[in-house]
Amino acid sequence: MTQVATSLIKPVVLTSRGETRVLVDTTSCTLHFIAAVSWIGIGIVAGLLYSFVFLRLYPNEGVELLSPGRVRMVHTNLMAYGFLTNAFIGMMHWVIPRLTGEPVLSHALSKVIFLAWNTIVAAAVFGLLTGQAQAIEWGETPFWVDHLVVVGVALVVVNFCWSIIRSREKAMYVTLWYFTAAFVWTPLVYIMGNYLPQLLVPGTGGAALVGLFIHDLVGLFVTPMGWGLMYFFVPVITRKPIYSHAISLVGFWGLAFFYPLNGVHHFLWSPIPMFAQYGAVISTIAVEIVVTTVVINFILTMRGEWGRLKDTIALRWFMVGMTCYFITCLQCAFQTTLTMQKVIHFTDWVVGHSHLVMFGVFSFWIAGVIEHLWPKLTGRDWWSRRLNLWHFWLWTGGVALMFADLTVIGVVQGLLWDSLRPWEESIRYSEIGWFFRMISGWMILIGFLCLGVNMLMSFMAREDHTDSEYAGQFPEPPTGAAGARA
Amino acid sequence: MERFNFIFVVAGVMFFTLAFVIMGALPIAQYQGIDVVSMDQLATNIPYQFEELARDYPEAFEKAFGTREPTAEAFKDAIEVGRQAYIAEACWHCHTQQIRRIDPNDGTEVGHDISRWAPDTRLESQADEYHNAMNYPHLFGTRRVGPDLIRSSGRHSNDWHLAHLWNPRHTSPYSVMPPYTWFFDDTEGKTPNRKGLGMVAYLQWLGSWHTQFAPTRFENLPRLPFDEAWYPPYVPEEAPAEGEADPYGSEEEDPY
Repeated sequence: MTQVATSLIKPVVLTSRGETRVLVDTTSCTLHFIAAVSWIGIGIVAGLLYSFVFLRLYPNEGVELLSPGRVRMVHTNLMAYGFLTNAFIGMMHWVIPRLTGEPVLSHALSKVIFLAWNTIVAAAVFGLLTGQAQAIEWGETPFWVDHLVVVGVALVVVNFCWSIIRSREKAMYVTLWYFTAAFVWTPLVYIMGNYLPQLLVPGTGGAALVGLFIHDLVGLFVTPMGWGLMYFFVPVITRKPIYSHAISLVGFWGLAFFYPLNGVHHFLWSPIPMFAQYGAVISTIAVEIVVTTVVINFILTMRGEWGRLKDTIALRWFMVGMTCYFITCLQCAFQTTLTMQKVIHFTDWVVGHSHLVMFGVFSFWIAGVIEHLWPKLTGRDWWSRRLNLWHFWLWTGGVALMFADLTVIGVVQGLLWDSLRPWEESIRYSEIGWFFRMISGWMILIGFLCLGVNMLMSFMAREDHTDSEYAGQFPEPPTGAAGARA
Repeated sequence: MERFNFIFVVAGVMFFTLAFVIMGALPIAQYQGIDVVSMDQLATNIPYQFEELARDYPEAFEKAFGTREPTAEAFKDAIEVGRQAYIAEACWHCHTQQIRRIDPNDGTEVGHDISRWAPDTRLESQADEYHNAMNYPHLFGTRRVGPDLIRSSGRHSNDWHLAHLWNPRHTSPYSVMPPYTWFFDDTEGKTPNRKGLGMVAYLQWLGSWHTQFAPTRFENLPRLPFDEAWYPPYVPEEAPAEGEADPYGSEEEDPY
C-alpha cells in the first residue's frame, strides 16, 4: 500500500515507452484554473444579485438582459460548466498523466479544448441573458449550445482516455476508476437529459429523464471527479496511503450501481409512476450507506495526521468539504423519504441542500486543489497566508450560515403552506431568512476576492518566497522544455 | 475489477443503461401507443380568456398575431410564444406546474397541494395533462416561491395578469416577483406586446382543460395509465348531454 502513495509522486517530466516527452501540461492546468476562478467570480456575483430580488432590492428591475430569472440561470450554469468543469479539467491535467505515466493525446488539443470550452461557456451566458434558455434544470444552456457541449465533452474524454488506455502501470489507482466512469457517464447523461425531453419524450416521461439528468450531473459527473481528486490529493499531502483498498472498491462500485438510479427523487408525488419513485427513494438511502464507507476510509487514512489541519490549509478544505459531504448525504437519506417530501419539497430547504453540495463540498475540494497546486504551477509561493485563511473562514462561515438559514426557513415555508394560510404569509416569514442568505452571499463574495487577489499577487510576484511554511515543501523540478532536457 | 475496460463497460455503460431502463424507459413505455396531443387538437378548445384578449386589446392583438379574431392559428401562436417567454424568463424556477397527491383532507397528515391548488376538482396532476405538444420539455419545476400555475386558468382575469406582469406589487403587495416591463410596448403598461399577450394566453390556457372543458375533455385528451391512482378519474357530477355542452360554462358552474 505504501507503494501506491509514493508512486503518486511522479517527476513532472519522464520518459515513457522509451520516449522523452513532457508528461504534464502545466500550462493547460494553469489556464483552466484561471478560467475556473474567473467564472466562479462572475457566478458568485450573479447569485448574490439574484438574492437581492427576494428582498425587493433588485438593482436592475426593468432591464431585460439582467432579468433575475435569467441571472439565476447564469449563476447555476456558470457554477456547473464554467467553474467546476474548468477546474476538473485543470485538475485532471495534473493528476492523470502522473498516475498513468503517459501524457494526454495532444498538448495542442488541450489548448484547443481550453479555448473551445470557455467559448462554449461564454456562449451559454450570452444565450441565457438574451432569452434562449432551455427548460432543463442544470441544463438551461440554449439548445444550440448543447451540440457544442457534446463535441467539447467528447474531445475532453478522448484526450484523457488516451492517457489511461496507453498506460503501462500495473495497477489502476482508485482516482482513475472514478475518472474512467465519469468519462463514460458524462456524455451519456448530457445527451439523455438535453435531447430526449426536448425532442422525443414529452411531459411526464420526459420529467423522469430530467430527474435523472439533474441528479446524474451531480452524481455521475461532479461526484466521481470530486472523489477522484480526494483519493489523489489527500494521500499526496499526508504522504500516507489510503487506509483500505477494499473499502475503496466498495465505495466505487456502490456509487456506480446506486447513484444512476436516484434521479426520480426530484419529482416525488408527481405523476411519474410510483414504482420509479419508490425505487429512487430506496437507492438514495443506499447511496448514503455507500458514502459512509468512503468517508470512513478517509477518516482512517487521516489517523495521526489531524494535527496537520493547523498548518496545511489545503487539507482543511478537503476535510471540511468531506464533512459537508457526509452531512449532505445523511440529510439526503432522510429528506428523500416520501413523508419528508410532503413538507420540504419546493421549499428553500432544497436550495440549502444544493448549495451545501455544489459549494460546500465540491467547490471546497477545488479550493483545496488550488491552494495546493497554485504555488507549484506558478513556481511562486502564496502571496499571503493570512488571505488564504480569510478565504477559508469566509467560505466556511458563508456556507454554514446559508445552509442553516435555508434549512430553517425551508421547514417554516413547508409548514406554513400546509396550514393553508394565505400564500403571502410564507413570503413574509421567509424574508428574514432571505436577508441572512444575502449576508452569506456577501461572505462568499469577499472570500472569493481574497482568493482572487492572492492568486493574482502570487502570480505577479517577481521571485519565490523562501522563508515561509511552503519553502521546500514541493521539491519538484521545473516543468516544460527545461525539465525535459534535464 | 480495477481494469479500464471492466470499469468502462460495467460501471460506465451497463450500470447507466440499467438505471436508464428502470427509471426512464419503463415509465416512458407506459405511455407508448398513445398519441401526443398536437397543437391543432389543443386549439380545438380555446379558453374564453383568449377571446377576451382579442376583444379588449384589438390593436395590440393584431400587431402581435396578425389578426383581430381569436382564431385557432392565433391561439396556437400565442400559447407557443407564451411558453417560450415562460422558459426564457425562467418562470418555472419559481412557479411549479405540478399538484402533488398530498392533502390533509384526503388521508395524509400533512400536505396542502390539492386543497390549495385544486379546490374545485380535488384532482392532483395527471400524466395526461402533460402529454401534449406544449410539454417539450415539461415544466414541472422544483421550487415554489410563487403559486403553482398548472391550474391557473380562470383564477384571475386577463387584466389582473397584465397588471401583475407590469408590476407584481400592484396586485400582490408582498410579492417578490420582478416586473416584466418588456412584455409591454409603452411606458405605462397599457399596451401588451406579443410576449405579454402570449404569456397571458399561456397562463389562461394552463388548466383550462379542467375548469372549462371538462365535458369535452375526454374526447381531446387521451387517458394515460398510472399505476397507483389515488382518486377516480374526474367525472363532472352533472355532465351535460352531448351537443348541449356550453364550452364556456354557466355562471353557476364557474367555481370562481
